[in-house]
Amino acid sequence: MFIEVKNAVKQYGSGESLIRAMDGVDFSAEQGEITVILGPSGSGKSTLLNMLGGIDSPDSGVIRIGKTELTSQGKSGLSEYRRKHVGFVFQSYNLIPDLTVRENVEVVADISKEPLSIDDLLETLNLAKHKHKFPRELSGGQQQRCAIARALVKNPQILLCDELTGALDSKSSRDVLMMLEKINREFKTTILIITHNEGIAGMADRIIRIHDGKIVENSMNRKKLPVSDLEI
Amino acid sequence: MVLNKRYIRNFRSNLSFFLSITILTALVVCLYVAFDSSYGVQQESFNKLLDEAQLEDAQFMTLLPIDDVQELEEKHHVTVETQPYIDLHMENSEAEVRIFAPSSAINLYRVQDGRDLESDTDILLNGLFMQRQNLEIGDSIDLDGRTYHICGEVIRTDYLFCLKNITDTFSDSDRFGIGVVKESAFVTYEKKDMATVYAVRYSDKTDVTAFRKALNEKYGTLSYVDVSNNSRIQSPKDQFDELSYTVQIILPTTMVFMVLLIAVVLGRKIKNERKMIGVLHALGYKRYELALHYSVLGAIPGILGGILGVLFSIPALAPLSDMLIEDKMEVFYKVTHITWKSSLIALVLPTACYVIAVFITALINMRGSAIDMIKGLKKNKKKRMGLRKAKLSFRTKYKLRAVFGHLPRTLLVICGIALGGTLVAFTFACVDSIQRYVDTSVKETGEFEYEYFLSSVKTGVPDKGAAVMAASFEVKDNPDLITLMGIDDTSMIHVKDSDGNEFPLDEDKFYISEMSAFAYHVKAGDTITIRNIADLKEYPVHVDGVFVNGSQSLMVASRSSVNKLLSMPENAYTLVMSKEKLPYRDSELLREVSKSSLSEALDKTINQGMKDLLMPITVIAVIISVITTYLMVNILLNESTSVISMLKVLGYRDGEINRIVTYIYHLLLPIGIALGIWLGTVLNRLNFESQTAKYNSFIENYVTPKSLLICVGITLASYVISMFLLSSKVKKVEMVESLKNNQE
Ligand SMILES: Nc1ncnc2c1ncn2[C@@H]1O[C@H](COP(=O)(O)OP(=O)(O)OP(=O)(O)O)[C@@H](O)[C@H]1O
Ligand SMILES: [Mg+2]
Repeated sequence: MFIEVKNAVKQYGSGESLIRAMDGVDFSAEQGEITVILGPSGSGKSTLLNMLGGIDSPDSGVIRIGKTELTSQGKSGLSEYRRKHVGFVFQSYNLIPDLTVRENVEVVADISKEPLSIDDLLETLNLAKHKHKFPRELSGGQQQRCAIARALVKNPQILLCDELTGALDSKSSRDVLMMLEKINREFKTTILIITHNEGIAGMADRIIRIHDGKIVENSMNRKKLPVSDLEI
Repeated sequence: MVLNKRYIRNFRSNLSFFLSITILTALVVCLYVAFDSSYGVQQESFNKLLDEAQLEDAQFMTLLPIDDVQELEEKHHVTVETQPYIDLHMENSEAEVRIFAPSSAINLYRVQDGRDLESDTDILLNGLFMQRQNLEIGDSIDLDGRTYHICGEVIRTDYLFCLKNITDTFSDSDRFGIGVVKESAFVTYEKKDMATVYAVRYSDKTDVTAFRKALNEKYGTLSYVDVSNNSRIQSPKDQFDELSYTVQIILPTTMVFMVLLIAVVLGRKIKNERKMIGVLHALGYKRYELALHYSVLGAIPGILGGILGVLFSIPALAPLSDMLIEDKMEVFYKVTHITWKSSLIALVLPTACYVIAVFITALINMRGSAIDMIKGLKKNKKKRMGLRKAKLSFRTKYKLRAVFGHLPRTLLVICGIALGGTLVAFTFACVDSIQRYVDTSVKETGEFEYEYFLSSVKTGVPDKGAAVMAASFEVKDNPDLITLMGIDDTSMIHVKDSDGNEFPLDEDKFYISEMSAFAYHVKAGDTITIRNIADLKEYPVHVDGVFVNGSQSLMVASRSSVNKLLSMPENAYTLVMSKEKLPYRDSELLREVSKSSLSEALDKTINQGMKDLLMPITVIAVIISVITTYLMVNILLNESTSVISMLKVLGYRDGEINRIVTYIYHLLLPIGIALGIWLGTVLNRLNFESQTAKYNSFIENYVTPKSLLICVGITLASYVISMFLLSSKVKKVEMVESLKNNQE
C-alpha cells in the first residue's frame, strides 16, 4: 500500500474537555488513487489530512507514505517530506499576497528538484493571462487554481486538498476538479480530497467516511464518474 | 462586555510586545521625570537661594577705603556693603578658614544644617570644608589660638565654588574653607590682618557706568568683578547651563518622539485586527464601543509604563541631584521629590497618545463596509508594488515589495531604529566633543608651560621666559572679559588661522581668538571696543584676523602695539610665559598658572561632571535602543506570520524562511543606524551651540571612530539579538493554526 495509517490517535485538551480528533484511525490507499474523505464537521477530516501531509503528527500510531515513515520523522524530516512529495490545496487559498500568480508558483518550483514548466502549468490551468496579477486581483476560483498550480508544480507524489471547492460556485468547482482529474490521469498523482459535497465523491476511486475521529467506511467506488458528469 | 475577555488573551498572546512597549514607556518616562525633577527642583532652589541671599551684582576693591557709603548709595541708587574678612589658620593643619561677619544687606549667609550663631565662640563652616576636615556639627575647631564651637553648616552664595582667590581655577577644601562668626566676635580680630571687598547691588535706576566711573575717580578702582565673571558664583550656574539643553530639550523631545513611535506601533497592531473589528461591527457592536474596547489595549501599557517610570525615577533623584552639583561645589539642596508637572505629563502623555492612536486606528478601520472588513479588504485598495514582469527571482521581488510596497511600515522601522540609536549617539558625541575640547583647547593655547602674573608692571626683558603685556578688559555692552596680550615671542602662543598659517604680529595688527569672535559677534575687519575695568576708558580696536583658540577669550598683538594702545612704555610687561618653571618669589606674583593645572581644571569641571551625568543616560539609552529595535523587528514578524506559516507548509526550512521573510530589513538597518547617529550628532551640535551662547565656550561637534563603532555595534547587536529572539518565534509559528484563520 502507498498510504498506510495504523491506529493513529490524536487528542486535544484534557479531562472534561478532552477531544479525540483521531481515535484509532486505520486507513490505506494505493498509489495513483483519488480518495474522497467525507464526514460531518468536526469529525477529524482535516486532522487526518494534516497528518498525511506532515503538518501535524499523531500522538500515537504509525503513518507511512511510500517508503517514508512520517511518525518517526522529526520536524526537519517532515519539512523535507513536505518539500519533496506533498502538494497542498486549502479552502482558504493561502497565497502570498506580495507575490504575483507566477511568483507564487515559483515559490515551490524554486525548491523542487524537477519542477514542471510553470508557464505550461498556468496555461493548463487557464491562468496564463493572469500570471502577472496579484492574488487580490483575482476571483476565488482563479486564486484556487493558482493554489493548485503551486501544489502541482513540484509534481508531487501526493496531493492533499482540504475543501478546495468550499468557497467556489459549481462552475468553478467543476473546472478545478477537472484539473485534478487530468493531473491524476497524466502524472498518476495520488490525490486525497476532503469535501462536504457528496456529489464530488463520484469522481473518487476510494471513498472514506469519518465519524467522531473513527473511520466508519473505507470502500472502493464502483461507479466512478468523469468530473463532467458529476452532480455538484 | 464579553469582549473584555479578549483583553487578557490579547495581552497573553502578545506578551513580549506589550511588555516591550510598557518597559520602553517606563524608561523614557523615568529618564524624563528623574532629570526634570532633580534638575528643575535643584535649579529652582538655586535661584531661590541666590534671591534670598541678596546676591551681589558685582564686587570690587578700591585703593582708598570708601568713607561715605551712604552718599554713593543715594547718588547712584545702589546698595553697597563693606564685607571685611580675615583668613585664620587652623591648628595642626595647613588649612585656612576665611572668616566673615554676618552681612546685613548683600550675600547673606544661610544655615544649611545645625543652628544659627548664638554665642561669640560659635562658628558656622561650609559643608565641603567640614567634610574634607572630618568635622561634624558639635565639634570644636582651633583657629589661630582661639577655640570655636561648630554650630552648623553655612552657605554663602558668593562662595559656592570655594576659591581662595577669585582668579583661581581650583577649589581645594583640604586647605581652604569659609566660616561665619558673630559680629561681636569678628570685631575682636586685628584690623590689620583683615581684607576688605565691597559688594554692590544695583537697582533699576542705577547707571552702572556712571557709578563705576565715580567710584574710580573718588577711590581708585583696584578690581571690579561682575557677578557673571565671578567663578565662585558662576561655576555652579555653568553646571546647570551645561545640562539645561539636555534636560530641558533633548530628554523631553526624546520622550515625546518615543511615545509617538510607540503610538504608531500600537496603531499598527490594531490594524492587524481589522478583520476582527469587521466581524464585531457586523455583529452589531457600535463603532465607538469597539473603538473604546480597543482603546483599553492602548491605555494599559500607557498607564502601566507611566506609573512604573515615575516609580523608577524616585530612587534616582537623590544620586542624580548629587551628580548635578559637581563634587567641588557646595551642595545646596538635595532633591527628594518629583515635580507635579513632570509626573503629570509622564502619566498623561503616553496614555493619551496610545489611546488616541488606537482609537483613531480602530475608527478608521471601521470606515469601510463590514463585508470588506471581514474579507480583510481595504476600502481604497492600495496598489501593490509593480515589478510584475521583472526578471528577478521571487525572493528578491518579495523583499523589494516588502520594503517598498509597505512604505509606512518601512519608514516606521527606519525611524524606530534611528530613534533608538539617537540618544546613544548623542551621549557618545557629547562626551567625545568635550574630551576633544579638553584635549585640544589647552594644546591650542600655545607652547608655554607656565604663566607668571606679576604683581607690578616691569619694563625691559625678563631673565628667562617671554615678556607679555597682559591685561583684562571688558567689552562694551558685554560684561565678559577679554584678555589683551602683547607678545613678541610667538613660539609661546599660537596665533594661527584654521589652515595653520601664522598671523604676522606686525605693528598695530590685532587678532582675536575664535572664542571671542564668537562671543562678541565680531569677524576680521570689524572694530571691537574694549574698556578698562577700573576707569572704563574705551579703546576701539580694529580686528585683523581670527585665530584658532576655542577656549580662551583673547586678543593678541605685538608688545609694542599693545603698549602703544594702552599708553604704556614700549617695553612694559606684566606677565612672563615660560616653558620651564621659573624661581619667582610669591611676593612678586599675583598668581601662577601652569598649563597642566589648566587642563586638569578643564577636565575636572567640564569633562568629569558631564561624563558622570551622561553615564546613566547612556545606560538607559542603550536599553531603549535595544527594545526599540526589538519592537521594530517584532512588527515585521507579526505582519508576516501568514507567509511564514505558508512557507513552512510548503516545506521551506526555517533558515530559508528567515532569509526570505525576516532578513528583509538588513537593508534598512544601515540606513536606520546612520540616521540615528546623524540625529545624535545634530542634537549634540545644537546642545553645544545653545551653550556657547550661554557661557561662551566653543565646543565643536566631534565623534571618535571608536564611539561611532560602539554606536553602530549597539544597534547592530540589538538587531542581531532581536533577530535571534524572533527567528525562534518563526520556529514557533504553527502551521495548522495559521491555516485555520482565514488568511487573505
Ligand atoms: N488545535 C486544536 N485544538 C483543540 N482542538 C482541536 C484543534 N484542532 C482540531 N481540534 C478539534 O478536533 C476535532 C477535529 O477537527 P477537524 O478540524 O479535523 O474537523 P473537520 O472534520 O476537518 O471539520 P470541518 O469539516 O468542520 O473542517 C474537532 O472537534 C476540533 O474541535
Ligand atoms: Mg476541516
